[in-house]
Amino acid sequence: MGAAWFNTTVAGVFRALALRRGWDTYNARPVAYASVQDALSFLAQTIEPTTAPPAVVPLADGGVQMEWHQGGLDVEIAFSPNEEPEMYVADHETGTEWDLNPLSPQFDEVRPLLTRLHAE
Amino acid sequence: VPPVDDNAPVPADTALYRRINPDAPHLVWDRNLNCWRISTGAFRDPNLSVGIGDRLEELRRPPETLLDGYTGQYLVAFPARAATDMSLTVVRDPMPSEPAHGAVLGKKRKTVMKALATACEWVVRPEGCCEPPYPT
Repeated sequence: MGAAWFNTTVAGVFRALALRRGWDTYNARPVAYASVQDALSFLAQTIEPTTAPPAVVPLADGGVQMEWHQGGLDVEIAFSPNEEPEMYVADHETGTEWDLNPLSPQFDEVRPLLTRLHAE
Repeated sequence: VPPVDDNAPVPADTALYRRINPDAPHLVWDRNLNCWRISTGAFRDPNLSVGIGDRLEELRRPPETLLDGYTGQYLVAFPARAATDMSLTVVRDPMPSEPAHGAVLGKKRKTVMKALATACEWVVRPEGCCEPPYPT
């Protein structure tokens, strides 16, 4: 993998996987390997090698969220155990928002926008 | 301030406080606006712990005391209405270590997480933060 986003994202994923129960100072579950696998697999199959690394945000239900706020876009993709993945995209240039399952055919609507997430 | 019954419903305009842990990380850098924003990920927990504003008032405690023992963390507030409008339940759940503890109960998919994040205001803010905490 020579993708610009890969090493930084994997480092973020390892930090997330190292979190213990209660990592949010409340009662969060540890991040599940399955959530991370799903997230990395999705990124590897869908985003360009030149894409900037996302922020890797652990979720209290054992999931993980990848997010970018750049290129006039807000993009958030969440993978949690036993849940359908979710994606939110806001395009500030057009004022358009999408809430979708990133594994659904609707992803094709937002995929072209993701080229605006280039690494600087 | 009159005493608050532990079984009393939480009024819609009561502030609910939630710590934001930058190490989680639940603060992410917004390259569009060049500022730190909260992540919707901070609101995923189906049993979301919060500090309840009316109990803090009764105890004559400023909300910032919710950060006692949590050095380096930040604090946001949202009205209970933001949760109940999304069909979530707000309950009082006093604990020996935190009598103002409460919980926002219910599954929080993306739409709900966004609604809570959007309703937030800073109480204790990081340097270089976005205003509001979750700009849309």
